[in-house]
Amino acid sequence: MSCDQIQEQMQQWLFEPQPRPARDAEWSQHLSDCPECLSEWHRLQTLADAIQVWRADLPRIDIADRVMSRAGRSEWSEATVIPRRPAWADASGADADAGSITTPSRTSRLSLIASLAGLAALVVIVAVFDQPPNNHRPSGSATNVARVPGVKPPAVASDTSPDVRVVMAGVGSAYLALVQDTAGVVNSATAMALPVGFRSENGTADAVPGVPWLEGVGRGWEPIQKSVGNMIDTFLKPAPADDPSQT
Amino acid sequence: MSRTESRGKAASPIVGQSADDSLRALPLAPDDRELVQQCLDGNSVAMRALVERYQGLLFGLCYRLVGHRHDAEDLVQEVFLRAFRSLAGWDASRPLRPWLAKIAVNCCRTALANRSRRQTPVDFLDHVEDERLPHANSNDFANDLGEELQRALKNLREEYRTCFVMYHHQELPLAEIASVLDRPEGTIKIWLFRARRELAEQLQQRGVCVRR
Repeated sequence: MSCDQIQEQMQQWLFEPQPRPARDAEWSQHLSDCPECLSEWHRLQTLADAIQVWRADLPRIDIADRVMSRAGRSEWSEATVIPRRPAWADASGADADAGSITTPSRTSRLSLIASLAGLAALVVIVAVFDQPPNNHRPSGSATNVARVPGVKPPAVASDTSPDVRVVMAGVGSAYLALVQDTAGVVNSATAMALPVGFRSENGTADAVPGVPWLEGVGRGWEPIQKSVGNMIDTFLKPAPADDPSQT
Repeated sequence: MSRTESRGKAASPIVGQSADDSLRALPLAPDDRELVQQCLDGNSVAMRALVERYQGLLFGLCYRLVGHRHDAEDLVQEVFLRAFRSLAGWDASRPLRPWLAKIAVNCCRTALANRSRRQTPVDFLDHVEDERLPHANSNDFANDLGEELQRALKNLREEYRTCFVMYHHQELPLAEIASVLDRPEGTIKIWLFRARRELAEQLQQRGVCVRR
C-alpha cells in the first residue's frame, strides 16, 4: 500500500462514520517502516481530539425574541438593525477572539454617517468661503474674525492682530485645525470632518494620517482662512485628467 | 390553502398581522413543510417555532465560520430574516435544512469579505492573541485544544473551512454539504481530506501535540 492510500485510510478510520476500515498487518508494518506516515498518524489523532473539544464548546443562544422583534416591526429591508452592544465593546470580553465584522445593515448605517459627515463638511466649506470680500479684514476686530465658523479668534487687545499659526493635521477622515499664537499657545481648535470619498475619489490628498501636513503662519486671520482654503481646495480639486495624447 | 395560493400573500409575512394567531396553535413538532406553510400564512407562532428549531444549527455554523459570537448572532438574525423573505421561493420537495444552511453560508461569506476589506484594531488584537500557544501542562489544555483548532480554521481556504465546519460541527452528510456548496460529493470529500491535513499540520506547527 502506498503512503497516499494509508493516509486516506487514516482519515477514514479517525473521522468517518462506521464501519471503520480494517487496520491489518500491512497497515502496522507500513507505519513502523514509514516515519512520515507515522507522524501524519499522530497529527491526525491530535486533530481528532481537538475536534471533539471544539465541537462541544459552543455557546448557547436564544435569538428568537430578537428575530421576532425585527419581524414584528415589519423590517423586511436590509437597512434595519437591532440595537445591541457595538463590536468594539465586545473586544474586551471573552468572546473577542476574532475581528469585528460588518453586516450589510451595519454598512448601511456607516454609509449614512459618512454621508452626514460629508454634508456637514460641505456646509462648513460654503460658510467659510461664501463671505463677502469686505468681511475678510486681516487686521479686523473680533467681530469680523468670528465669522470664520468653528474657529474662535485669539484675544485681541488692540487693533493689531497677533501673529498666528495654523496647523492642519489629518487623522483618517477627520482633520483638526489648531490656531496658535506666536508663543505656541493653542488659542482655538476646531475639527473638520471630511468624507473619505473626497480623498479617494480625487486622489490628491495623500497626507499620512496623524502627520501635520498643512501649515500657515502670518499676521492676522487671513492666513488662517488661506490655509483652510488651501486644504479644502486640495480636497476639492479634481484629479488631473489623463492626457489622451499619451495613450 | 396550497403553497402556490398563499405565495402572494406570504411574500412579506408580518408578525402580528393575523389576529387569530393564538387560535392557530401549532400541533406538536410539525414537520418543516407544515411549519413553512404556516409561516407563509403569517402565523407568528410558526415563525418563532422555525427560529427555535434551527437557531442552534445556524448559530453553530455562523459562529464557527466567522469565529466571533456577536457577529454570529447578528448573522443568524439576518439569515432568518432573509429566509422569511424568501420562504415562498423554497422548493418544498427539498429539505429545509440545507436551504437555510446555504443562506447562512452566503451571509458568512459576505461578512468575511467585508471583514477582509476592513481590518480593525480588534483584528490586530486577535492576531496578538493568536501568538499564544497552549500550555500542555495546564488543566485548560483541553479547552486550548478547541481554541487552537478554531484559530487554525481561520487560516484555511474558505471552502475547506465551510466544508469542515459543516461536516464535523454540524454533522451534515456529504450529500447535503454538496448541495449547499453546489459541488459534487467527490469534491467535498477531497476538500475535507485536505482541510484535515492542513489543520493537523497547523496544530503541529503551533506546538499542539497529544502524546499517546
